[in-house]
Amino acid sequence: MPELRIIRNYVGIKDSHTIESYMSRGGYAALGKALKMDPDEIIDEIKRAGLRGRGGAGFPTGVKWSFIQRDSKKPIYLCCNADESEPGSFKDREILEQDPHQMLEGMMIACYTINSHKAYVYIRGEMPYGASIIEGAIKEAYDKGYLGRNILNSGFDLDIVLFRGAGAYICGEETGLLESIEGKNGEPRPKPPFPAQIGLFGCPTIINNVETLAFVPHIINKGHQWFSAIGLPKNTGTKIYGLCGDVNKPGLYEIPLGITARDLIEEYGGGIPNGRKVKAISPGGSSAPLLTADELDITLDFDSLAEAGSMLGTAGVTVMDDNACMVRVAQNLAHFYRDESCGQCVQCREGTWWLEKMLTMIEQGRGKMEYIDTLLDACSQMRGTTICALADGCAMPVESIVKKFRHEFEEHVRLGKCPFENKHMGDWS
Amino acid sequence: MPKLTIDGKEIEVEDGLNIIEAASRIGIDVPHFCYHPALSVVAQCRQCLVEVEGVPKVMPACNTYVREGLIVKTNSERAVKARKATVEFTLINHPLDCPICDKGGECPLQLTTVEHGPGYSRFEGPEEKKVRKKYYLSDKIIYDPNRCIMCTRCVRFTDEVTKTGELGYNGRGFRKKIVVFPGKKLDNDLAGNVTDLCPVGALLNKDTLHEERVWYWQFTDTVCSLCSNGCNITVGVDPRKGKVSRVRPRTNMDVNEHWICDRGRYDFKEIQEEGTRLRDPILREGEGFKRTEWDEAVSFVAQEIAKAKEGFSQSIAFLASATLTNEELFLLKKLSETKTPSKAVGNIGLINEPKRFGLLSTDPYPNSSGVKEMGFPYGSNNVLELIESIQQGWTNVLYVAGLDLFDLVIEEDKESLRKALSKLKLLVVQDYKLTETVRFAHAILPGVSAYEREGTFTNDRGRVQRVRKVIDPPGTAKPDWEILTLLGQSLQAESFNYSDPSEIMLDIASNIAAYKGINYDNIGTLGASTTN
Ligand SMILES: Cc1cc2nc3c(=O)[nH]c(=O)nc-3n(C[C@H](O)[C@H](O)[C@H](O)COP(=O)(O)O)c2cc1C
Ligand code: SF4
Ligand code: SF4
Ligand code: FES
Repeated sequence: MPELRIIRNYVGIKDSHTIESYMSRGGYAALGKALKMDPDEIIDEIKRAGLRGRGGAGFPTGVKWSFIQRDSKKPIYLCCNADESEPGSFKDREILEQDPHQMLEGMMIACYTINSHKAYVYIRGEMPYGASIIEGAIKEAYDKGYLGRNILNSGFDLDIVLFRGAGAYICGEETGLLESIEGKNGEPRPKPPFPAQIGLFGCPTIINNVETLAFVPHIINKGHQWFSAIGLPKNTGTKIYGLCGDVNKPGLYEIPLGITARDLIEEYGGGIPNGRKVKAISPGGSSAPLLTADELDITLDFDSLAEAGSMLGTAGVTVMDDNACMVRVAQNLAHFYRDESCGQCVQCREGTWWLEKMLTMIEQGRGKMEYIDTLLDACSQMRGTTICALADGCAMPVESIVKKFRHEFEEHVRLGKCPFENKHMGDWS
Repeated sequence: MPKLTIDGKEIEVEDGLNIIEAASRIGIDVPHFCYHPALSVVAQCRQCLVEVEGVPKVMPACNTYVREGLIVKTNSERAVKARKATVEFTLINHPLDCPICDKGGECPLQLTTVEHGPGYSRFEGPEEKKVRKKYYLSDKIIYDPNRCIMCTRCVRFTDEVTKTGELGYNGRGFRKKIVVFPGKKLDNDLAGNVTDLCPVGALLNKDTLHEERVWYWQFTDTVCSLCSNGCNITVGVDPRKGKVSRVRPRTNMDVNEHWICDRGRYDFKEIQEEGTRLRDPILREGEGFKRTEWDEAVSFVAQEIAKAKEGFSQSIAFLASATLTNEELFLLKKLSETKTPSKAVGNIGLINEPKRFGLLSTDPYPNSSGVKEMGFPYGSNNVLELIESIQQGWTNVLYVAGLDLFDLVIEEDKESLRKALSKLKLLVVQDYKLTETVRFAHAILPGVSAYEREGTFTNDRGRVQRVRKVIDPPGTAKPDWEILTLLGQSLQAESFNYSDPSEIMLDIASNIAAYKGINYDNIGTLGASTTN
């Protein structure tokens, strides 16, 4: 399947991040167009385009926007989720650093649509370069009159504020993000209430991913038919896949939704180095259940992956070759989630800690056979029982690894040591 | 009022209730740690998981609110399994040192584990549990991070109830622990309540550390005697020691909600141990004193009162304390009026600033309202006038019940008070401890302390509440109502025929308008309001 660049079209080109570059290719025309549209018309356009959230859950963006009661007496907020901290995920970063005005224009259109006059870009603390680019881009937009009072003489006012995170994966979870902007510990809130009713500072709020917002101006410019014709039914448009791990050509590839894992790895990734074979892949960041070498013909879109018991997540595809120790991979994952759990929910705080302990014992040859079922049972009770999806994000991949590579766990226990020599742990660290 | 179904039972409850509350209405206990009716809902402990029809995930009952047609299953296989798993997760890093934990025996985690837990742990290697150092949050409260289950009740208490914000948490995930903000201490007037709120033994009272074993105690529901608010409390007594071991709040939404102040909670030690207790009746003999029997003491005092009452009305006076119960005040007033009416004055406390945290009053007495309502002229003018009258020699027989006159005058006036008291023909003091006034007495009638009293107090909002005896008085000391009954019978037998304070209350109800219809049955455990 050929590459189709909508968002990545100008990356790598000199000064692509500047407003001059963006405007020279028709940038901010969508804003002018949108400001003349009725908000319901915009929502309808986004709905019919079939745009689904690129932050992980694939929720239809137009539907999300329609949850806002636009005549609310309280202020309405938009937050752009630029916290991208999931292992194996690096797609938003490129947009932020190389072509941020698409995202800002998307935010402006979204704000106009939901009647918001203040929006935040919540950027991961470890992206100081991206933050400086966004800061510059916001300033450029003010200078050109795309932000501030009475934008393009429409009577619409909007301010965008850059907010830098302080280094926590959990602040990417939408309500953890809101707490963080409010100056509190980044701890997700129990839902309901949902942010569209009670969000930032107790006001109606929409949270959207960077990539999601970046698609918005393109859809407004070219129309929903154009967008919905790309990709698969209900899985429309292109997707930026982040390919990493044991592949010859890791990197970002923007392709219509619906490429198979095999094609992505072979055609784009150039296959596996040193003539080795694929053992497993994660199709969507570190939270998605893994796929085995036998499952590479599944297409990497929201619904096909869900049907296969996994998820598209962030579309960060991590490849592990046949030298990977799957116990070590699981242990590494559990370690990450243990460190990143906010600690509110016991299943998550203690569960991630417990999983990591058991996996470490097995990896070091100190494990017992019964740990294997205990791992599965613990995972099953960490799923769907907590405030946010971080616990699921740990349990799902670990559970899939134990189920799909049970023999490796048994072998560790039987041998009393790790059977792999030059093993590695997947590319997550 | 939405109708919903919980475990197959249909109920109708008011809007706004969560499933924990609604279920409790029909006797179904949904276990929970982080939820508390006075605190915001955070749904963090995940112990209250239940199944809600139409919702794919198990839901926290604390954050699920009643609505029409809701069908909740607390006992479905999935819900039971989820809660069992929650217990197992909670115990992973919990030290399981119940045998040496003060909370043992009344610990919600322990009880929940027994009731809802799996009964075993698959976590191996206890030596590898997280181990962290204990530290003090204040001079009185120690924190054990190993036992903490991070329910954040303590933090929310200081944020939302006292609004003093001393506590926070620090670290993320498994490193998280409760801390006091730098430069602060957890020392607000209500701080001790966090030790009750804590559902595990992570916040403990330093004063009684490793001294408490709750199953030895007997608990009595009573009210606090340390100010006019009349907070409802439960007092735990270790019968082997015959002493109060613990005072803790008892929920009464009309009085103290769920809380008590730290004086009420911690001062029982001092109150029990303060001063020298008066154990037996004592009469003056020449320059010295002799211990005697009640018969002798009562008939001596009764005779002297009768004699004095034959003189002119100023010559005998009764002085009442606002630490006495309504029943005792009623009897003392009645005594003052027996045969001929004589002077009777009550000492009360004043509320001269807003109550701190809505509880702590500046009136240090439990029954200033009772003093007023039982008909004693009160106020500092009346008290000072009485002292003046003693100094002038107009009053030469004085009956003092429950107070030390020297507490009522300023330092410079103490010497002249001493002179005046030593001029009295007869000073009768009914009290439980040795005070300076007692040293001038001709007859000493030993009464009871705050924890030995039985009767009612009326708080500063007109609520009549029962105070209960929790420990026995020492020696042959008698409850004050009984002393007054004996004296009354000696003076005028037929009208002092009481064998229990409840009978005195019946008389109060028929004599004092505000108490009409009040009796011990309708006072119950939460009190009854006077009418005014
Ligand atoms: C633990 C956790 C971390 C997350 N991190 C991110 C993130 O870094 N960026 C992001 O866009 N969404 C992240 N999400 C998803 C957000 O909660 C939210 O669904 C998303 O921002 C919504 O945007 P969308 O509708 O445009 O996809 C995370 C979710 C979880 C549970
Ligand atoms: S699931 Fe984990 S990260 Fe999410 S709120 Fe609960 S403890 Fe925090
Ligand atoms: S100390 Fe007690 S009350 Fe505070 S968070 Fe820990 S368990 Fe909860
Ligand atoms: S009581 Fe419901 S989650 Fe703690």
